[in-house]
Parts: sequence; structure tokens; C-alpha cells
Amino acid sequence: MIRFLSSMKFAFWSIVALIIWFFAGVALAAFDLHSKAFSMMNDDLILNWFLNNMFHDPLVTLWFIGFCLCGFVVGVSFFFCTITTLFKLMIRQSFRLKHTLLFLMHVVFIGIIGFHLLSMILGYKKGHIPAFEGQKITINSDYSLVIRKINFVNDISVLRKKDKHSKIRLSHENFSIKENYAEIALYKSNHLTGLGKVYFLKPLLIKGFCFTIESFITNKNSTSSEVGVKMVIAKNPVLIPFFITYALAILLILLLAIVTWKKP
Amino acid sequence: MEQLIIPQYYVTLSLVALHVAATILKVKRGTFILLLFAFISSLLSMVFIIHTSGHPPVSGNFEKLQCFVFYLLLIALLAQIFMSKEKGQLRFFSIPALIIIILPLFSEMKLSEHYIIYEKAEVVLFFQMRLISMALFAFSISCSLEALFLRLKDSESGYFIHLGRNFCLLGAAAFLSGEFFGSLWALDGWGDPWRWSNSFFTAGAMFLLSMLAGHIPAHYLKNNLMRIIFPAIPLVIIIVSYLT
Repeated sequence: MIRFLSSMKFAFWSIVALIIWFFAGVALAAFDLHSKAFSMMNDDLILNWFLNNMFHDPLVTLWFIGFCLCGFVVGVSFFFCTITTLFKLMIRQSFRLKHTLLFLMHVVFIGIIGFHLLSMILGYKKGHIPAFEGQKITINSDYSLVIRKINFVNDISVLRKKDKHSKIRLSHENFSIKENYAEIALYKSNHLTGLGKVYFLKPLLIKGFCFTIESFITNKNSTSSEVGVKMVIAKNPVLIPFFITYALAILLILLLAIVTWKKP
Repeated sequence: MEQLIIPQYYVTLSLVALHVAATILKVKRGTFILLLFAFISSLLSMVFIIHTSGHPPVSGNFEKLQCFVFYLLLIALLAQIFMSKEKGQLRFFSIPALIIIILPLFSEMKLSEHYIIYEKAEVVLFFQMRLISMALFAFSISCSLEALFLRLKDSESGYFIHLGRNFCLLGAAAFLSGEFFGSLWALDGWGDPWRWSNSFFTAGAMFLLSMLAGHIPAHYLKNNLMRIIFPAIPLVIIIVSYLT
């Protein structure tokens, strides 16, 4: 059994299955209805999304379950191939650089899959939170956030454009990246623990929480020109290890290409 | 400089087409000079584009595809200079280059506007590393073409297969670097390095495809033809996914 799980054939077909599943996701997300369901997955921790919304769009839920299964199978294949074939090869070849790099590269990829998995179930995430000046947002039983001030110096007509890429298509003529901001204060059990300004594309980190402005918005229910923000509050405890393993993976692939440039 | 962009594009297109003609007709002399001129022309296009739009090529087919060809010609030039002359010159890169550079003819020939996000280093690096990786994958495919059309029965085809594998690995590293910068962009813009969306699924599939070339079971590669074609198929799918 272990021989099969660590075989190249199993690795090949498990990767093919995951590729097909990714493309199935692309096809599914092309439909507006399912695209909205995928968008909801970005607004919460995946574990919470799954437990609370699994019947919202059954097709997307099924896709997600299939995705987890495919990812798990690839992980199993990587794991067994690494601890059996690649590990033995590395020992047998007396830690020859090529084999050591191959082994380490697979370990790092197992790490990336693992950190992806952990970021789905650990920490905190709430996205698409509309917030206006003076508003209080309860994060959890301990923490709450107060929007102290929203500064928006440009013409608000830019915020009313119904363009899919309006966030990306902001130019210096219609948006000031240095003067538009939200001033926020974080409270722990009603005691101020941190405050600062959040800018577009420049999140603020307080007490492990990352506050990001997704976009500036206007109040749809009011005729006034009040400007608010759409915010993401996230706490990802594996963010730094995730980026480190990512960088290591790049480095190891490069090293492997260099070491084995001439035929081994 | 703006008015020079389109004429310069046609100059590069003509030079690449000439190189393809020379390759098909098996003309050996002068192909390096053609490559050099095509590269210089492509370099000039890049200078005109950056000067006019205010940023390196990011999105928009016209500038993106020209940048793709610029990197492909640069890789080909470096390969010609630094690689073993005994094994023969690599020339088939001009076929994917021609296919890519023809594509802007079927879309609007205009540059992207200058948006604030293009001033963020990670955004530009994301787009540029992707283009570099696509050029490396295209060069890897051209190594397979070289082996397929010239040296299938030659013992030296192994050299081109291995060279293709090397450029595929470099392409995977460049692609993953692009994804690294893209994750930083997503983190700053949406509060999370990963998004459940179309573009992220495509990126995931593209990276896995680049890895697939190195995970083909040995018994699937029974003969030289399989050894040449099989590793190139995932790379073709990556480039097609990128272009669509």
C-alpha cells in the first residue's frame, strides 16, 4: 500500500486530479450565481463558512469538498513519496546535493499545503464589513473596533461607478492614496489597546489583527454624501511561516535547476 | 514616442517572422543577427511602452504580449551566447514567439492606463514574473520542438529534452515568485494571501501543471517521441490558460 502511495504514478494522477478540480472551479466561478457563493468564502474563516453556509450553494460546497479531497490525496502522495523514496534516496546517496534538495523541496511543499490547511481553520476573518464614521464593530467577546474618522478628499462619484474593476482602476486624478484613510481604534474589554490609520493598499496591524480597507463606499440607504469603508479584519497565525515556506520553495527549485543543469 | 509604438511593433513582428522563415528553410547563416535585431527592436518597443504608459507592461494584450516576446527573445539571446555551440543552435523559439506576437493584431492596439496599483512594487513584480515564467515555459517548449523536428533519431535529442526540463524548472521558480508577490498584493488589497476566485484557481492549476512535467511516470515515456512531447503538453496548457 505504502509502495503505491509513494509511487510516481499515484503522484502524477493525484496532481492531474487537482488540476482538473481547479479548472472545474474556474468553470463554476464563471457563472454569476456561483461566483457570489465563492465570494462568500472570502468573507469568513473557511471552517466557519463551511459550517454555516454549506447548503447555500450545494454545487460550490460539493466543489469545495472535492477540492479538499484532491488536496488531501496530493498531500498523502507527497508525504509518502518524501518519507520513503526521497528520504531513502538521500541517505543512500550520502546526502548528495541533488537528492537533498529534492527531499527538502518536497518537505517545503508539504509545509505549504499544511499552512494553507491551517489558515482555513485557525485565526479570525471577517470580510466585506461596511463601516462608517462612529460605528462600533464587535470582533469577538474580547475585542471591538471603533471607526473614529473617515477621511475622503476626492469626488465621491468615483465610488458610485458600477465597474467590476473599479477598485483596480483608481488613478491619481480621482483618488488620493495618501489622504484617503480610516482612523480606527481597537478596544479590549472596553480598554483602548491600539489605534492608527488604515489606507487603501496599506493595512494596519494591531495586536495580531490585520485591518484592511477593501474599498471606500457611499451609504446606499442615504442621499447624503457620507463615505464609509468596506473592511476586512483578519488574524492569520500562520501567515509568516506560510510566506517563509513559499520563499524557500522558490529558492529550492532554483537551486535544483542550477545543481542539475548539466545532466546528472 | 507614442506614435512610434505601433510601427516598432510591426518591425519586431517582421523580424520574428523572418527568423521563423529562416528556421523552416534551414538557413543557418545570419539567424543570430536576425535574433539580435529582433531583440533590439523588442527592447525599443519596451522603452516606448514604459515611457508612454508610465509603468512596465502589466495587463492589456498589446503591451503584455510584446513583453512576453521581449523576454523570450532575451532568453534565446542569452542561450545562444552562453550555451554549448557543439550541440547546435537553438532556433525554434521563434515559432512560439511569432504565435504570441501575432495575437495583438486580433485585439485593440492600445496601452493600459496608469492606475495607482501599478506603483506598488509587488503588483508590477507579480505581472512581470508571470511574463518571465511564460517566456521560460515557451523556451522550454521550443527545446522540445528542436528535439522533435531536428534530432528525434539523434542521440543528442536527450540534450534538448534535459535543456527543456531545466527551463521548465526555472519557469516554475519564476511563476512561484510571481505568485509570492501576488499573494503580498492580495494581502494588502483584500486582507488575505489567498482568494477563492477564478484567477487564483487558474494560478493554482498553472503551477501544478508546471510541476506535472517532472512527475511523469517513467513507463509513460517509452520512446523518444513520448519523452519529447509529454513534458511539453502541460506547458502548452499553461500558456494557453495565461493567454485566455
